[in-house]
Formats: sequence, C-alpha cells, structure tokens
Amino acid sequence: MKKLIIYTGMIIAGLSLAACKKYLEVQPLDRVPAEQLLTDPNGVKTLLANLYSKMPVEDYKYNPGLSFNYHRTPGNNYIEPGFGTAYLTDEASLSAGSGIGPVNESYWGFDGIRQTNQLLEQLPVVTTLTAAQKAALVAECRFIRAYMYFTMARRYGGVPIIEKSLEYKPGTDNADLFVPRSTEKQTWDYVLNELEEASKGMPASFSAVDGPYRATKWAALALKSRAALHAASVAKFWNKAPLTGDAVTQKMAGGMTPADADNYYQQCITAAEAVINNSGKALYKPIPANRTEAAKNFQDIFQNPTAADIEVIFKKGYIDGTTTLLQGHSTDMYYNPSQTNPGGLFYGRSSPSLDLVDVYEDYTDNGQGQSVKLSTRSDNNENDILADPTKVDVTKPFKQYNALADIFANKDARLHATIIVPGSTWKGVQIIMQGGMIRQDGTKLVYSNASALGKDGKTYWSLGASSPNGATGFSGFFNIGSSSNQNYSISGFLQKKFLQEGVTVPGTYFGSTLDFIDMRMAEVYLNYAEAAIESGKGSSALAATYLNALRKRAGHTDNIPASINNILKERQVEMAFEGRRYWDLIRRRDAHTMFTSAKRTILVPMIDLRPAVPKYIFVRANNFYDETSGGRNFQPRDYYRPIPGVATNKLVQNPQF
Amino acid sequence: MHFKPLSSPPKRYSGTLIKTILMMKFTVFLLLIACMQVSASGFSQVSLAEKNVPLRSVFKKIQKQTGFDFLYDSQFLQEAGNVSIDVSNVSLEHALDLCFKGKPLAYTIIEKTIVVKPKPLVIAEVTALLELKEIISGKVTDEQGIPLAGASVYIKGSSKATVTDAQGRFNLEVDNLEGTLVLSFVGRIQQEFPLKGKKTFNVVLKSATEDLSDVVVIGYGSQKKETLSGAVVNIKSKDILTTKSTSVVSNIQGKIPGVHIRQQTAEPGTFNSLVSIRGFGTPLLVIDGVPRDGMSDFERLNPEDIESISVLKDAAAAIYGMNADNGVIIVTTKKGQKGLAKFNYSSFVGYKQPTSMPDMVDAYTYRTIRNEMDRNTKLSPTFSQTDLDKWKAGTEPGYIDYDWFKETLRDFTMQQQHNISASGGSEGITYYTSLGILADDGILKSDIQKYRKYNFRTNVTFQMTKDLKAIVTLAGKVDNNRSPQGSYFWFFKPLIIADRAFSPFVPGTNNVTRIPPEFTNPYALASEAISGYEKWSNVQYQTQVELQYDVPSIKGLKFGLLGAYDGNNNNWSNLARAYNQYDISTNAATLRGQNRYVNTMTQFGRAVVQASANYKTTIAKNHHIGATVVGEMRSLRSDIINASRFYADVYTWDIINQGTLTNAQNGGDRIIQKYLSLLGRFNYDFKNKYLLELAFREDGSYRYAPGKRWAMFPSASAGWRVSQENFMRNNAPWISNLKLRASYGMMGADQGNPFEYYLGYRYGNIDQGYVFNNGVLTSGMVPPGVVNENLTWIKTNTANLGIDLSLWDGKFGLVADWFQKDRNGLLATKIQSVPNTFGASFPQENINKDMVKGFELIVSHKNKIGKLRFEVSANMTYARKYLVYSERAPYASTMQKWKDTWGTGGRVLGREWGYLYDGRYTDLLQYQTAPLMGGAAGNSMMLPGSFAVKDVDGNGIINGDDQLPEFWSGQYQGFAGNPPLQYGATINLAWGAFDMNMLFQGSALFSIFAAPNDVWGYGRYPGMWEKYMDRWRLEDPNMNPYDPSAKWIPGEYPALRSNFNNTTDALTTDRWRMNASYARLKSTEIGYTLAPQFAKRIKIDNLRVFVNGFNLFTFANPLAKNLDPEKEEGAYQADLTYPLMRSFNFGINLNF
Repeated sequence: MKKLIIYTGMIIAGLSLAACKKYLEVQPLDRVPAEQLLTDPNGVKTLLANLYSKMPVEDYKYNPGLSFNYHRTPGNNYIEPGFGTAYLTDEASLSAGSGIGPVNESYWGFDGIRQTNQLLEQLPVVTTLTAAQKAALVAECRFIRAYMYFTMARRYGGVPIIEKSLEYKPGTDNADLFVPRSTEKQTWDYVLNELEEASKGMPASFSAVDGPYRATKWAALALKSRAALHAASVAKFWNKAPLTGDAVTQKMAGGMTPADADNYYQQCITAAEAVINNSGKALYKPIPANRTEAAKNFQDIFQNPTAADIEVIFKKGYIDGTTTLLQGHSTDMYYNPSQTNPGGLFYGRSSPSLDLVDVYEDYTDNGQGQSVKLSTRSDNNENDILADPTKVDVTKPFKQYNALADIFANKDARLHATIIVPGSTWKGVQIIMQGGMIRQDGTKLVYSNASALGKDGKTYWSLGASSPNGATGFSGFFNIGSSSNQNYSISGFLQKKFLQEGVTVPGTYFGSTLDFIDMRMAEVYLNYAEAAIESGKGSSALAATYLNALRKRAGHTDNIPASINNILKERQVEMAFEGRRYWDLIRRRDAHTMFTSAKRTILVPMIDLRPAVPKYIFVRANNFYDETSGGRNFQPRDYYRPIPGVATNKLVQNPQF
Repeated sequence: MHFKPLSSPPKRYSGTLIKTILMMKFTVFLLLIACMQVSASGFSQVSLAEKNVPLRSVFKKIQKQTGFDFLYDSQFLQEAGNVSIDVSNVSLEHALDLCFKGKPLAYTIIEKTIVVKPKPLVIAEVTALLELKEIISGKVTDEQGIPLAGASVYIKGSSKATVTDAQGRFNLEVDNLEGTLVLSFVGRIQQEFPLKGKKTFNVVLKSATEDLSDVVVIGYGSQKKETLSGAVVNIKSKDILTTKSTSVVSNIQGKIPGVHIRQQTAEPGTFNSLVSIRGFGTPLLVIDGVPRDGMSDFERLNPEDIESISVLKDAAAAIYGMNADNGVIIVTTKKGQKGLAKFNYSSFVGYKQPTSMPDMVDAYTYRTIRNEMDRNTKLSPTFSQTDLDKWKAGTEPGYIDYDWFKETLRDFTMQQQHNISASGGSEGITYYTSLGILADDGILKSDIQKYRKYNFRTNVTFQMTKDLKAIVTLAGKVDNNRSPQGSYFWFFKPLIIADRAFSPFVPGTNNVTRIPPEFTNPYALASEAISGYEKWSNVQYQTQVELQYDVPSIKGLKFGLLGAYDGNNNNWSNLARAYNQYDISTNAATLRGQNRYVNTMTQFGRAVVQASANYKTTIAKNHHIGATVVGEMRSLRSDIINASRFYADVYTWDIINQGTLTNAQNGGDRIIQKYLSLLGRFNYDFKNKYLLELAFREDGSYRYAPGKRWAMFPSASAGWRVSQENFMRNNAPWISNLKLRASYGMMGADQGNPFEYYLGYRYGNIDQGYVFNNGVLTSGMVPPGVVNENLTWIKTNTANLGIDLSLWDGKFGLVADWFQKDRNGLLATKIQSVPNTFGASFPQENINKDMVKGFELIVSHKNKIGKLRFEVSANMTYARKYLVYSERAPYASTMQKWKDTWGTGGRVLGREWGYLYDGRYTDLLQYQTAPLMGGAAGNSMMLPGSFAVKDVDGNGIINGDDQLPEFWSGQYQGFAGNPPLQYGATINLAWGAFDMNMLFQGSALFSIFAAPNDVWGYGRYPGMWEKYMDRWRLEDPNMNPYDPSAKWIPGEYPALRSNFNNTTDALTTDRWRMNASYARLKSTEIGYTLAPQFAKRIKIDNLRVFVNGFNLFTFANPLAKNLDPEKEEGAYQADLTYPLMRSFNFGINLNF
C-alpha cells in the first residue's frame, strides 16, 4: 500500500509539473501586446497609421453617401465613389446616376475616438520614450481626435465628448457608457481647445524618416482656423434657418450667441495669424509672369503637391494599388475625358456646372472683382435659360465665336486650371464638347449626331465628331440620362483639378497615387479674411491683402476690396472641388435658400452653319437631372444630420428626424 | 534433459503448407510479420552432415555441439519423417530452419531449451509444460452440441491457457487443482468453474448476443457491461460488419439507439452525415483512447479495422469532460491474437443510382404549358402555334428536344472497396495490420467526379517483460477527390432548369451553347477541360505508443503512459477556367468567368500525452473497488497558407507561379491550441449488485483568461441490479437481468474566441494603413475591442434515468432511458443597448441557456424456430430542445414574442409558421365570397383549383396574420439538423449457412419544403417537373380561364402560372411544406457462409459471400419522397444537393 501511495504520488506530481500554468500560456499569434509596439519607433508608427487612416479627411476616397475610405470594388458592386461633397453643391454634377447625390453623408467616429483614447492612455506608461517624445505623440493623438470631433460637430452639432476609453463591465447596467450630447457650443469649444493644446505639443515639421505626411502644429492651427470659422458662422447664422425641437432647446443644435460668434471669429483670426506669420508657409509662385503661367502654376499645386510644398500645410498620400487593390485612388480614371481615358470602364464622370464657371472673374472686368458671366448673347441677356435645349430658338441673338474655346479666353486663369472647357487642350488633345448644330437653312439638330455641310463646303457634325471612337472627344449631350452614356460631361465642362496632365496613368482601379491636399495656405488666408470682415476683429487691411494675394497669383493685376461677397466668391473659385463649398453653404446657412427647386445650369455649345464660315454659339440650359427631377431642394433640417442609433444610445435626436 | 509428451496434435493445423503458399501472395504483410517473428539470435555454431536420418538423431548431434536441450513429442517427430542436411559452421537457427524446412513443425528457443511442436502451437502451453503437474481435460460445445473449436481455456489469474481443438476438446496442464477454470468463446457467455479437484469438464457455452459479461470500453478504461451504471451502448465488429458500405456511419446507421444519423448527400468524398447523440450536436470522437478529428474522421475509418464502438450518452461521457457534452463515440481498433498469421480479405463492388431524380417534361410540353401558364396569368401566350407545331414534330434543327439529364448524368455509377488484413503473433509480439482501398465515382458523365481513399493500420503489441506491454499503432489514410469547379448546387440548378430546346453544342461545332435562363451550360460546368475543377487531397496519419505496466508488487495496480502524434496535410485547389459560350443560332461567343487558380495548404498536428494509474481490488470478496487517475496534455497546431492568381493573358498551368501578379492574393495563418486535464474515477460495487461510480475531471483550456481557464466537471452514477437480489432470483427466475440506472454529471465545451482576455493589437487591413512617407504604406495596428476576462467554459449538466430489462435469457429485452441536458453559459452578446458612442462592440459572454429533454427506448426479441434463428431489435429516440434563456432585444408586442420561433423562456424549437390548407376552390364564383387573397388585386387572379387558406383572424383578408405555428421545421432548421423523433429496427435472421440482416430507419416530426416558385420550373424556368402536369386545367385550352363558364379538369396541383402574384398558390401550407416523416429500408444484406467442410477442402478458414442493398425502399408521403426526405435540402431549401444513392453491392469475405 505504501508503494501504491508512492506511485500515485509520483504520477500526480508529474502531472502537476506538466500542469504548471505555463503549459496553457499560449501566446495569441494574431495580436501583439501594446508594450511591444510602443517601445519600437516603427511600432508607434503602426499605431498612428491606424488612427490616421481613421481620420476623416474628405479626400478622393470620401463618398458622402457611403463613407470615408470608400473603395469602389467588385465587392461593393462598383458603386460610384462620389467626389467629396462637390455634387451636393452648385459646383458640379455627376454624369451618372441621377446626377446628384442625396444629402445623406454621415460620420459617427466613435470607434476611432475610442482607439485614440486607448493609445492616449497607454502612452504615459511607456518607459522607453522620453517625456518630450510622449508629449509630441499625445499632442498628435489629440489632433487626430479633434479632427474626428470637428467632423462630427459640423454634421451633428453637439455630440457626446468622450475622452477616455470607457470600460464595459459585464453584469452591470453600464450606465456610465451612456454619455449624453454636449451642447453645440461645448463641442466646438472642445474641438478648438484640443486643437490649440495639440498645436502646442506638435512639432513644426517632421523629418523624412518620421514622415512628412504627418500633421504638424501648423496643420493643427490651420484646422483650428477652419473649425473656428465654421463655429463662428453657425453661431452667427444658425437662426437664418430656425429649427425647433429638443436638440434646439437644449442647445445641442445651434443655440449660440453673437458673443460666441465673436469669440470663434477671434480664435479663427488668431490661429490663422499664427500659421501665416510663423509657419514659414506661403503661396506657391505668388507672382506669375502672365496668365498662362498663372494657370500652369495653379494647376501644378494640385498635380504636384510636393513641388508646391511651400503652400501645403497638410496632405494625404497614397501608394499604387494596381497590383494590390484598395491602396491607391482612381481619380485619374473616373474623371479623365473620354479622349484621354487611360482605359477604364468609367471616365468623364464629373460635370462642373455653368454656375461655377460664371463665377470666375474676367480679366476685362471692372476692377471691382465682379464675376462676369460668360457672354453668350449679343443682347447681354444671360438669364434666358432653356429647360430643353432641343427647343432652342435659333433666331435669338446668340453671340458667334470663331472657336469653341474663344468664349473662355479672358476668364480667370484658375478656371483653366480647374475645369476642362470645350475646345481647350488637355494632354495634347483638343477636347471638343458640343451639343448640336444649326444647319444652313436654320433648322437645328440638338443632342443627336448627324453631319451637315457648311457654306465652306466642309462637313460638320452636330456633336463635333462622327463617332465616340473618333479622334475627338464625343459630346456628353447625346443620350443624357441613359446608362450607356454616363462617361461624358452633361454640363459642357469636365473637371481638371486633381487630374495629372503630365503623368501617364493606368486605366485600372486604384492606379492613382496623387497626394490630396487637405489644408493649404490659400484657405488660411481666406479664413482670416472672412473672420476679420464678418467680425470686425483682426485687420481688414490684411484681409484685403490676403484676398488680393490670391488674385495676383492668378494673374490679376488689380486690387479689389475685401467685401464678404468678394471673399466668398474667392473661396468658390480658389478652392473649387476641394470640399469647401458644401460646408460654406452649410455653416453660413445659405444652402436652403440657394436650393429651393433650384436647377444648376449647363452650357450647350452648338455649331452654327449659317455664316459663310461656321461659328459657335453657346446656349444656356438647365442641368438635365435637375430639370427632370424638378430642381434641387435643401431642407433646413439637413443643416444637421440625424444622430444614428438614438433608440439605444439614448441621445437627443436632431430636429425633424 | 526432459522429454515430455505433448498433447495430441490438433488436426486443424494440417493445412499449414498450403497456407504458407497462400501467404506468399502477401509479401508486404509477410515482410512485416517476418520482422516481428525474429527471435533473439547469437546462438552457437553447428556443423552437420546427415543423409536421410530421423530428426531425433539430428537433434542429438545438435545437442552435443551446442548444449541445448530439445523438447518434443516423439510420435509427432516420427510423422515428420527423415531429414538430410549438410552445413558447416552455421548458426543454430539456420540449421534448425533447414531441418524443419517443409515439415509441419516449428520450434522456439526458450533459454537453453529448443521446443519443437506442431507449427501453430502457442508457447505459453509449452512453457506451462515445463512445470507440468496435473492435466485437466474436457470438451466445449454449443447449445446444439456442436463442438466449438478454438475456444479459449485458461486458469484464472495464471498463465495456464490453451484452446480447444476441432472436436472442441482440450487438455490443460495445471500446477494444482485449486484454481478457477475459465472457458470463453467469441459471441458466447463466458463460464467459470472452480476446479476443486475435478479434472474433466464438458461445458456448453451459450450464445451471447446480449452478453452481460462483455467488457465494454468506456472512457479511460473498460468495464463489464453488467456493472455499468451509465447509458453506454457498445457495438462490436461483427454487428458493424453485418452491413458493408463505404462509410462506417452507414454501417451503423439505425443500429445504435440514441445515435441519430442522417445521410445528407451521397456526394463522393464528402462524408458529411449528421451524427448526433440524442439530438445534442456533434459528439466527441475518441479512437484508441485519444480524441481525434470528429465525425469526418469517424466516417472515413476503415470499418474492417474496428473492434468495437462504444457510445457514451449520459454523464458517463463526463470522464471526457472537455467537449464531451454532446456525448462520446469511442472506437477501439483491432489488435492481433497470438498464433500464425490469419488473413482476411473482404471486398465489394457496387452499383448505385440516385434515389430521387425529378422527371422533367420535354421542350414541346414545356412550351404548351408555358402558353397555358401565360393565359392563367392573364398574359399573352409566349409561343405561336407555328412554333408549337414545329416543336411537336421535333425534327427541324432548332426544334429538337434534348434531355439534359441524359446528356450529363449516367444512369448508374460504381463503387468498390477492398480490404485485406493480417493478424497473428507470437509470445512476445502480436499484430494486426490492414490495407483498404475505396473507389467511388460520381454520376456525372464527364467523369470529373472521382474519390479515392486508401487506409492502412498497423497495431502491434509487444509484451516486453512479464509486466510491461507496449502497444504501437500506426494508422493513416490518403484520400483525394476531384469534382466540378462550382458546387453541386450550381451544377444541379442549371441542369434542372436548362431549356431542353438547347443542345450542349452549337450544331456542327464543338462550341458549348449558352443556355437560358441562367446562361450557363451544364455540360461545360461538369467538364474539367472547359470550366475547371475542384480538387483536394488529404494525407492523414495517426501514431500512438502506449505502455502498460502491471506493478508486480501490488496486484491490481497498473500504470499507463500513452503518447500520440497525429498529423494531417491537406491540399485544396480550385481552378476556374474562362471559356466561351456560344449562341446556338448565331454562334456568337460570350466569355464566361475568369481564369483563376486558388490553392490552400493546411498542415495539422496534434500531440497527446496521457499518464494513468489504475487500481482494482476486491475487499472481503464482495466489495469490488476500482480507481483510475489520468493526466492528459494535448496540443494542436495548424499552419495554413493560401494563394490565388488570375491569368490575365493566357492560362498555362494550375500553379500559383504561373498566374499573373495583378490582384495576386495570399494569406496564411497559424493556430496553436493547448489543453491540460486531470481526471479520476472511483468505482465501487457490492456483489456486482449495487453499483456506484464517482468521477471528476478538471480541464484547462488555453482559450480563456488565466483565472477562467480551469473547469471542474464532476459526475456520479449509480445502479442497482435488482435481478441479482435473492428475492428476485427465487421468485422471478425468468427475469434474467433487471438493472436500474441513474447518472448525473457536468461537462463542458470550450467555445468562444480565444484570447478575448488579451490586450493586444491586431494587424490591420490594407485600408487601415497610412502613408507617412512618400510611396510607403505604414501598416496600421488596430487596438483591441473590449477585453473580456470573464469568458469561460460552457457548462452542461446531464441527467439520465434508465432501466435495463432482459427476460427469458434474452428472448425479450428492453432498455429505456429518460434524459435531460441543460447547457449554461452559451455564448451571446449582450443586447443591452450598446450605445454606438462606445466605439466598440460588446464581447461574447456566457449568457444563454438551453435544455434538451427526451427519452429513448430499445425493445429486442430473439428466438429460434427450427433451424431459423432470428433477432429483432427496434429503437427510437425522441428529443426536443428548449430555449431557456436567449439574449435578445425586448419584444415590441406580445404578438411578436409569440411569433418568434427562436423565442426565449422555455420555447420549444422546431416549429415553423404557415397557413392552414382548407381545401380548394373549384369555381370562380366562390371567390366572390372567399376571403381576399391578393391584396389590392383582391381575388382577381384566383382560378379554380387554387388552395383555400383559412382566414384565421376572420377579417376577410388573407395576410401574414393568418399564419400559425403549424409545421414542424425542416431538416435544415432546428438545432442539430436532425428531426426530433428517430427510429430504427434491425432484423437478423440465420438459417444454416445463410444469414440476412435488414435495417429499417426513419425519422418523424419534420417537414420538407418543395419550393414551388424557385427552381422546379413551376412557371419561372423552362425546366418543368413532370409531376406538375397533374394540374387543374381547362377542358378547352383555348377558352379564357377567367370565364366563369369554362369547364375545368381537376388535378393535384393548382392551375400553373407564370408567377404567383396575388394568389394563395405559393403560400406555405402543407401542400408545399410537407410532412416528411419516413421510414426506409435502409439496408438489407444476405450472406452465405461456406460450410466448414467445404472451406477446409479448399484450404480456407471461412468464406462468406453477400449481396446488399442500400436505400431500397422508402415509406413516406409520395410527394416528399420525390425529394428524398432524408437528404438535406441545401441552400435556398431548393434540394439541389447531390442525390442520395440506392446501391447494390456484391462482396466476399474470406478468412484464411
């Protein structure tokens, strides 16, 4: 029996030895402990990379209806990517679909905020980083978090402010997870304060090793000027579109005072000043030799942001995604004209509106910065806009131009750098966009293609060429609204900004690697100018200086006064398609008055065969999709987006949702 | 020197020589055997030069030269005749080999003694002879007085043992006449007799199908069946092999009560039968003491290798604790027996055809019906009369009917299986080794479907010392399969709905056609050359070494150490080819698909180490005590790598490197799992009458946080053998056995995501990276969501009450069990409103609860009438599952709660909502007063023959509110995919040399859905089932069906339509969701065993030939049968799965 006990004991001892806890300590192979990452500079970068990727930059991959970082892939059925918020405004229309995106964008960034909070909580316990390194990383995280809150604040007004990663406690009611909305004012104050604090800790620049694409203190301040201007405008104008409801009475949507507005304008001015005076950043090539050079310089800012680094405050980079999907972006493929389509199935999809083209100054204007509409009529009646261009009255006094491009000859250089206009040259090819013809006998043929003889004995085509496969770009006015013709302009214009003219781009998805400029000096100038003029704070003289600096860079030689209208007009033309216009309309509460059964306009160039040598005339008409849908409307409630998930998160819903 | 006579030579060994020749055929085995039979060498050298002298004189010479003694039977030596030998300086062994060459003699060297004996004699006997003191003798027969040859005879607790000869006689030398003589024979009740000085024993061994003294393998040990107190069922090799098929699971289907088996498809190589014990879920599979790979591994075992299968159904499984809560299936493989090699060859070749394949109408009929459907749907007819006439003639090109089933499917296909095994051994070593091959081809004419399986197994037992034994197992299988590139679903659907107006090829070309409505071509889909393939191959090996040590100083104490390493290499690949399909009239090409190759390789390894101690003793004669302690370590590792490539330019080879780099994808993973267990069991019984078993198991899983890793699973069971009580014995001797059993125990399952407790960052996707430096993407590491340190084992409580009853020596038998299983801590995520401001989702927690309750019953009867012996056994199990707690958002209304099939609070699972069928409308006028069916369209689309549906809420409108939980769920639903009620019956008949085994099997309380508007051509597609011709139709097809004066011919189905809009025809009633209860004659096998005298004449031990058939006959709703009620319904409940097969096999089983 003794032996039995010994043997049993031995076995149990052996087992216990084996059973020592170590055996079950399996290292999870699909995750890495935080310490391992935080003690390695590259590890820190991977943590930041995740947070940056969650930062809601309204870049090429932002589809307001779908999400940030939206990719058009077979997996999502090739849904149109959208292009920022331009299609929600008077800037442009999509050629495809209904031509317009609904206002349904949303961003509920609390997963990114939680992850940022997690890193902020882990940083202080790392022993291998110096205090200075930690402070800089903390500041960078706060910038990212503030960017997320800013993006939510301008969509939802006041949102819950959560500054630490909340803990879920199983078996309890978890009441502390239910953080209520702050007021809109508290939210803006939080965003501005965070950006201010972040700017204090962030470096002025990053080395090539650390990553030039990381946000600097100037990015924080530039973003602060953007956010403060938004907050100030809402504080000043929110009553232009009065809303009612709990969110309003509890000041979660609007509810700010003129004093708040003044405060925010001042913060905008201060932040902008800091950037302008201390960042070392300035306008790229501020004094061009001539208009052509001005157009080239302006175009270069966007197609070569690295060369224009002096002006760029924050940009986002991409790597080639042609062999590994989802990495690059597809801008060059979606927006090139059919003639220079690199080989994609989708192209020519962005149609800038005539409304925007009209806003650009004419160098022959009166020196007051007045926008001069394109001159289509000899009776100067530019308000005769057709619902249906096929019913054009050919007896009206249309101005006749010798060449398609002539009508744009004196327009602001930035128009030519931003928009491909009919008859202009792009990538060495003349881009013909033409919607019809008037035959010798005065009969007309609009929106369909046929040939006719001119009095010069030559054959002319109503759409400018015999076929879409011909040497010339085919007009987009043919078959408007049909799914087969979505690859052509429907407005008479195509987008040029963000396309690369000197670069051969692949005709596949994710083939573009062009950087996206999120913040540049021009915006800071204009933020300063608007804040100064709206509030009377700061210097109105400086406001005018900044305003005219941009015009001078565009080849203007005169100075115009810094009126609010001039500043807003300058924002439109300088920053077209950069994602500013939509938010300008929102923050200043102009969208609902602008879009009341509003129809954006297009320009239909036609060839007129009645003269001895054929001439071009230009017909103003309504955007096809706007016309057929009865015009575009913006409801006042859409100044705020509906809070998602109120049934479970117990938040106060925004008005009228 | 001692010369002692041996017992008289058994005559059955006289065929040794021929046997040897037969053996030559199996060189592979022989090599193996030869290795095992090598004895110790290094003996003295001998030189001999003898010519035609008696063996005895040669022996004397050898004895002089070497000093070795000889032991032999002189009579036998004389019979062996003279010998010539001329050798110099050869080894003793070599000299002896030459002496015995061609003689019916064998020798064994024991120390310095050379024992000469007839070839198969077992050394134990000889050893015993050396110290012979007394001889006992006798004869063993069966009930009919027929001698039992080969019965084992031994003295309990000693090494004295022998076997009976052909006359059933035995002689056994014993030290004294004190011990207990044990007589046993396979399949018969073992008997024991105290010698008490007696020397002669003539014994009748009774047949024992219900042999209570059978030893049953239970977890970590074995136990006599009579002293079991848990619900354990055991099935032996003999019963497994009464039906032969390609899968072990088919072999045992319906034979083991409580084991639910449903064959889901007959797709070769899938082996995806649903196996569950009492409807619980997939059981744990243990092969030779080690948990292995589950049901797929089980099904692929070679049935011939299996010695026995035990099924632990209740808390008896708790000894396996971890993941045993669905019950345990324990497989024990065959081991060798001492003696000369015995060979078994068994094989069958089978023919099989689908149990159900729809009959489809031809192209012309479809078109006439299409027009009828159009009229019935108020549409204009699709086909003109001219067209129809051409189709009717069917001669003009383009108007010819093609039977797509005939074009692509065979009428029947073949399967075959061959298995050969050898077993035997000598004193030190016994072995069993086998090799099996299975070939199974599909029913596709393209020949793409091929499955091959090769099994081997070698079990060797080494008796290393008197007390130490080692069992070495090496088993493996290689199987591989090739099938069409897409799944069978995407082959059968286009096949069934293909328009029969289309030929496979554009006439006059080899171009495959593009066939509406799906624009595919079944011929192309089944062709490897055109559309590609899916292939996998699997190489599996299982190795195991087990040491058993009987501690000599303490009787009854054993130590065991087991190490096993199993591995698996899997190579899966799928090649999709791009190919052109051509328009049948214009021959214009349309490209289909892209060339793409996907390859996944998985390497799996599992190491198990078990250390055990086992003690058995009897105190004061009546107290039997047993105790077992085991420690177990288990570690598993999988490495997976996969890659895919497209071929942008040209397809070359199905190799990753041959594809295009654009959009190349790859992935890889590694999974490591570790478990640790400590378990113990204590058995006690008093006089084999009062039984008690207590067990515990402590399991640790790597999966959980350190504090939550370990779980303790205790269990207890008790039994009372009432029939052993004197009052029963005296008053009711006809009760052979009556036992009451009760058990209760806990088990667990380690589920949930591993490492939920671990705060770590994961590698993000591409779009979670960011560009910090020009042209360089920095990968993003994503922080953890919510860490949950509380996740732990799912815990199960199982209770079982049972009764075993056997009357009149087993003529009538009854086993009944009631059981209940409660599971706590099932995984769910808290619904309790995660505010979306939280920024992460809640983790899995142990929240839900469910419960399964049921009972099972076995009734058996066996008897004989004249020469006819028969056994009938029927079993049934009924089990239902209740959701005790199920986390969910609050119901908006009580109605919603009531309607939720998956509701909580004691809801029974397995009910389906539908409408009540209420006869038919026979006249258009009836619709004026009938409840409204079609929403806004009212009854305007209804026709005579449509189903009337009960307006349950009486509001005059038929809508969703009129549904009731009227139906049993389909097989695809519910918890284990098995219907709640399952039954089976076996009938075994034996008459002389003939035997017959029939197996009935079935299920009830479930339904099957014949989706009328999807693929069955009920209007939507050109393929139409013949059965739908039995429909309501106009007497005059040219009349307007909506004319009230039109006369209708009634039929089984309502008037056919192009769509069901605004009608009741497609609503879920019992017309479409049919009761699918069935009983089927699952298998029948008839065998003939060659009479022993003939067998002897052709020098074999045993020969049995048999024919069997599977899925021979089904009793079911004839409409449901059309869809084979046993088969899985598959995706969309469309029944587009590989059909089950009716098969006929012819085979032989040869022992020699």
